[in-house]
Amino acid sequence: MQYHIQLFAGMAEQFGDVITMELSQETVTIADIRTRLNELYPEIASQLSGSFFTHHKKLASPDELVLPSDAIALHQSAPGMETVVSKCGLYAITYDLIDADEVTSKVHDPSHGASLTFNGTTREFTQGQRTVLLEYEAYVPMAMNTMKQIGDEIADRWPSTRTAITHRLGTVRIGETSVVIAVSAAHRDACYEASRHAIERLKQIVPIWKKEVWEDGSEWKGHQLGGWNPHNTP
Amino acid sequence: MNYHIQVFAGLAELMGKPMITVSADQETMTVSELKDLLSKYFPEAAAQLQGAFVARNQAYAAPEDLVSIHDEIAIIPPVSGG
Repeated sequence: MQYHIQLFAGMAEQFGDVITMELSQETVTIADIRTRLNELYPEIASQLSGSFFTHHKKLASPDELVLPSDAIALHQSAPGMETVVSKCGLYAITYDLIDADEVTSKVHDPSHGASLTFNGTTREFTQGQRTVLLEYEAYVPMAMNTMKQIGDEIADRWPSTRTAITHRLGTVRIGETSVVIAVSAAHRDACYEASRHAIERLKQIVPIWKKEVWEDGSEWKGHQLGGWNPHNTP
Repeated sequence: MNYHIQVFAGLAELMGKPMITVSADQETMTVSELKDLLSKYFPEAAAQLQGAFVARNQAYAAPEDLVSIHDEIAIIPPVSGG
C-alpha cells in the first residue's frame, strides 16, 4: 500500500511537496511511517529533529493508525511554522507574537469569579549579564502533551478551574512575552494557586529550551547544577 | 538494528547534529543501556547525557523502561521554558 506524506517550507523545497512510500504491513501507525522514512530517506531523517506529524491536520501521536488515503503531513518546528493548537484548543505553540487577551478568552466561564493571566517576559539582565535576545526551541508534540498534562493536573487538584497555555518559539526580543498562562476558577484562592502551579510545572516538565544570546556569546539554559527530574511530583 | 534518536538544544550542539543514529544487535534495550551506548559514541557529551532524560513516544521514560527501534526516541536535556 502506498502512503503519501506532505512536506512544507524548507523540506518541501529540498525534497518535493509529497513523498510516497510503500508499506506492506496490514496496519500502519505514525511511528511506522517515521521508521520507514528514517530508512528510506536518511537525508530527510537527519532533519527530523523537532519535526512532527499531523494526521488530517491534527497533531498525531506515534501509535495513531493511518490509512493510505489519509492526509499525513510532516512539519518542521522552524520559523514560519503554523501555530500548533491542541485538539481541545487550550494549548498552543507558536512562532508568532502571543495575544494574551486571546489566551485569556479561552478560559472565560460565566460561573467563574476569577481569572488570572500570567505573562512570562524575557529579561534583559540575569545575574548582571546583559541579554540581547532569547532563542526558544521545543520538542513540539511532547511539549503539547505536557502542557495538556499540566492543565489536567490543575483540573484534578482544583476542580472546576480551566487552564490555557501558549508558548512562543524562535527569536524573542527583550521585554516580549514568551509564555502566557490563563487560569479561571470559581474563587480567587484556587485561581492564584493554580496559576502558580502551572508555571512551576511548565518549567519542570515541558520540553522547551531557551538560549540566552549576549553581545559576546550565548548559553543554553537549564538546570546547571544537575538533579533535574521531571518525574518528581509537585 | 538502527535506533534513531532526536536530540535538542545544547546537547544537539554538543553532539553536532539533531538526529543521531546508533546501531546495536538487539531490537530493544533499556533507557540506561541506551544512554550508556550514546555516551560511548559521544564521550564529549557523556556528562550531559547522564543528566538528561529519555522520552519514548513523546513521554518521559524511566531508566529501566525498554525502548525499541520502532519507538520515537528523544533525549531531553534539563528543560528551560517559560
